Amino acid sequence: MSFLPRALLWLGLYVALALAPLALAAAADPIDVRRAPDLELAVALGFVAFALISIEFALVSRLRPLAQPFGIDALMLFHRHMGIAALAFVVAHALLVCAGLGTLALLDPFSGTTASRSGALALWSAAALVISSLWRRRLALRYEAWRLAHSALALTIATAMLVHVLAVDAYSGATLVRTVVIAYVALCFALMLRHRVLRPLSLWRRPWELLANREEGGDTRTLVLRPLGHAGIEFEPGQFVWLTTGRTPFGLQQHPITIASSSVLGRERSIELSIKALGDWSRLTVPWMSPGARVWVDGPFGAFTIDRVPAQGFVLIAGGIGISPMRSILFSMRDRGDARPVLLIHAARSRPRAVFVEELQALQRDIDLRVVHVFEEPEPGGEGERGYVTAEILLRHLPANPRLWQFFVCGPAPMLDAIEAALARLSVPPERVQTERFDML
Amino acid sequence: MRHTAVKYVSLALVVLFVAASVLFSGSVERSRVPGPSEAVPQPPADTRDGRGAFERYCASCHDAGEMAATFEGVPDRGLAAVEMLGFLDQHGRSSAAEDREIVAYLLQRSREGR
Repeated sequence: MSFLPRALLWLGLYVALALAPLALAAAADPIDVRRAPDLELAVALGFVAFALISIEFALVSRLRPLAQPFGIDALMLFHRHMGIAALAFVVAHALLVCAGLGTLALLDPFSGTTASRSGALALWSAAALVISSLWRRRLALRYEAWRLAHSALALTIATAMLVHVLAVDAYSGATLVRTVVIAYVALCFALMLRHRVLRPLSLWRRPWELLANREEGGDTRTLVLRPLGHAGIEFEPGQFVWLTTGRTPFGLQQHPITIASSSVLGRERSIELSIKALGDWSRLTVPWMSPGARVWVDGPFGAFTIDRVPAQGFVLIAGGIGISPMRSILFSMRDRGDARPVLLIHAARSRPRAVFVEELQALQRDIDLRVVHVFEEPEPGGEGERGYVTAEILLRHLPANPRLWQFFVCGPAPMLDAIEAALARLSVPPERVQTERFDML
Repeated sequence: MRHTAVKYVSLALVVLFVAASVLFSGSVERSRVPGPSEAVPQPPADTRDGRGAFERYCASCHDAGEMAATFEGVPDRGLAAVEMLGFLDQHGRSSAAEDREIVAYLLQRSREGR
């Protein structure tokens, strides 16, 4: 099945799941006294919020059938948007109920009835979860601490929601509604169990060994990993894996890293992961990882790959460590004997901060590749373009008929926003542009 | 462009869900248009809240089952509920919202056979 029907199918399922509790409540309608319309609206918003929050668990559980058509980074972004929307629904629900009853006491999680306390706990936990996620860096939260808090808050919300809906005992007085509500929350717990316990357990039996830890310059290191006692993974160029370091795969040090090596595997079936020092883990842990260390690899994931789109040629636009998937794509094309033309636009702060420059120059002899460097701070008399990647720079280098090419863009969010706008100005069809943000968490 | 698409899809879904919520409130309200004898006060969202309020304000002197029984066999439960509200307003320390919760709780108990 092609992308669009599959995407529409998933979207339809999402809408059905999000509205199912509300629809069942309306159908069962066990309440036989008339209530204020704003109270009914509050109830409806509450049911939608309940369903949205429950489905949030599925979006980030790395379910392969769900991740395949969209890519996990797109799912993460959707998870983020719908998480914010769910919080808005929860807040609207709470405020409408408070307004209807004329008291703000219901927002106190420490006093009141079971229903009001559990509702308030869900509300404040949801607010804490969203705020800590949106402003993790601003709040100087360590990634591992944030992950732990995120999981704990998510489970707290799921439990509090269940208690709240059952304790309110209005629409949930209907057996069908009650059963569905319990099933949604049970599914949340099952997904969390799979994600945090069963999946790591399975990874534990498939360890990887660190063969080398190379300094690449530009605050970037490349880890070369070999599967130990198993066949490793098959992947498409441009995909990524979740890398877990530490003593066990149950640890919190788990990070999404793009595979930087060729998808045509050698005899050892090793893979290479290039990691830029952007956070605590990459600054404090990665440089000190020694050959022989055990790590765990979950994947591959991602839809940012040349294997799923027809194209006469490729324009690859990379910013910073966004060059990693491009490296995998280019080496894979070389190893597969793919003769299609490629234009690589490689943006970096400066020549010394750019990685893989020599490798890319050497690759131009092996495949039909043209590399254009764009440096914010170019060396005097140095090669390449100056500044940021703009529509004007793209226009100077793009092939004559780019409509038949596929564009792959990977880099930080502001760069992606600017390039998406620039490509739109150049009339590049949106369906020809694949993007991946490497700061998805 | 997947990320731009995600933004628009998310926005469209939020609009859809708000519309569904409004539709829900309208439809359940229509399905419960009260007759002249059912012009009851707005009951609460939460009869468990009503139980809590009953336990706080009433249970020390009154039995919930007995009070719920006052709604049984009456020709007009709506009128009985209004009278009960008036009684609570005069008699107890509970707020108007809590009074409504207590009445709805007792109504529900009487429906469930106490």
